[in-house]
Amino acid sequence: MPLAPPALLEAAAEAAGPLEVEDPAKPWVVPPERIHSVLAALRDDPRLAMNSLMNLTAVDRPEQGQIEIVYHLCSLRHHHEVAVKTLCDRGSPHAPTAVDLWPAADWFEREVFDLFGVVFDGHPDLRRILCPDDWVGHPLLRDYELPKDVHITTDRDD
Amino acid sequence: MTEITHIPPPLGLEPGAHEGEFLINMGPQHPSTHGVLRLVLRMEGEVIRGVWPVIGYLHRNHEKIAESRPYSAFTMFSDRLDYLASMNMNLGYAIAVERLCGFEVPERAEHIRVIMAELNRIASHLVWFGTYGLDLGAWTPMLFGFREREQIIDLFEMACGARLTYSYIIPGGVTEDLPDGFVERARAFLRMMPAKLREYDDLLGDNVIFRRRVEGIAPLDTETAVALGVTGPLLRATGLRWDLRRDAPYSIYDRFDFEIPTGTTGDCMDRYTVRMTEIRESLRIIEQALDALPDGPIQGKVPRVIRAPKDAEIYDRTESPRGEYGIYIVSDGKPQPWRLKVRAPSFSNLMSVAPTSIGLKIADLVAIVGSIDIVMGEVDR
Repeated sequence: MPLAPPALLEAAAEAAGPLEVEDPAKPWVVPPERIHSVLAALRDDPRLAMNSLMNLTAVDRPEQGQIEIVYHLCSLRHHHEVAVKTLCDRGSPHAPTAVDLWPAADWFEREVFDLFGVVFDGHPDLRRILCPDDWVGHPLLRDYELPKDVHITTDRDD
Repeated sequence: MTEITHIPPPLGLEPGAHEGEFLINMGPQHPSTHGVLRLVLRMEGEVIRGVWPVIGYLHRNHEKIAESRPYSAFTMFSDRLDYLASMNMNLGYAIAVERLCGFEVPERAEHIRVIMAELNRIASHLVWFGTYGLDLGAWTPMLFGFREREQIIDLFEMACGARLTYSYIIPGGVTEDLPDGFVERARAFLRMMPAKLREYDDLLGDNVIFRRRVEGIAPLDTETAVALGVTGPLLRATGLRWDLRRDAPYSIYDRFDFEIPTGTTGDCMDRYTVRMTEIRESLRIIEQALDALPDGPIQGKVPRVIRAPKDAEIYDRTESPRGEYGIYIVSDGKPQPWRLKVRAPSFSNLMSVAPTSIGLKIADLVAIVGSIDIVMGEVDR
């Protein structure tokens, strides 16, 4: 049976310890030091059984000096879903990896590393995935300046 | 559940690799990589010992582009994600914006959307049928598949003038009403198609050579597939009856009667069967939608400049021909999204290549990559 957001939050708090969430229907913000254990509880608790990591991405918040990491989880057994967020410092962004919980996180985290520069501690193969390996900067940061001279030219006169 | 082994960095042969192992490079320009996918293979003779997919050759960063464009402009970019199913891409984006902003969609537009999305699903599966035959050395399926797809493309051209990038389904409705004669031609297509599907099975599905290339190749169990984020026909081929059109209904899919085909072992043959049966089910949905097509407006009330509520966000997912297509929008109240993320089904499905192909022969890799039905436009975005 799918659980409604308040019941989901209740079950999650029982499994992972108290969670400070104002509105259970909105993304739950979890402190970075607890995010891995909360995600593990969401996956392993039989009432929640969030066996699918549908999406993992980041949102840049320069005015708060933070980057949000967003996890969209879904239970293919119970048909309920939840969004969980954690925050990391924009100066040296670090977050624990979720690859050990869902192998699906592998390329998602590589993408966030590539485009936001967030380092996922414990990721087995953290390399750029979409941009070339020698790319400078992280394009999805809001203050990223688009390079003016990356176009490829076939003009051989110069 | 099979153990998923992650290939440790650095990419290549680690010191102390087995003697006789070597690396070869497949793609990015290779007939069976469907675009610009590169696979670095670690081989021992003809046996695959490691696979590193290298992607990003088609990266345009649609997500960055979206941050500087009004909401209505991203429809044109969504066409270029999965360019074989642009209608489904338009639909997923339109629904996300509508849910974020609370727009209503008129009944007639909802029906037209379902007709178009399902026609495009058939067209996409037909391209897959043709190119998969081509990958495995059969030339004719490509001609057959493209012959029927052409009729669908003609229908789209009638409706919106475009043959590949439609931008037809927009937030609030659709751009044009159906032209005269569309419904009749669509019905003629529905009548013609079942006989063609039997022809496809005679040609490819029941062909001994084809079956020997795909049966028992790259089986995938449900638990591994879910953990890897695999969705769409690949997930259903493993035996899980999971389709967002039924399990998280959007648009008006809950009104139609259709089956969700599944396989048993998740091998390449099951993926073929699931896709071919999905075409049949899409035909049923289109028929019901045509029967129920009401009169009325085709565009709801949408402001000229769309502004989403401040500090709102939404993750909306729809079933594209390749699986779960998600759109994540974060709004700060301005006419452009603060952040837009596309969760592309092919991106996650492609991750299943490495764990399923290790230990098989290199010729099987062509069958595996083909069976995933990747579109690099949405993998690289």
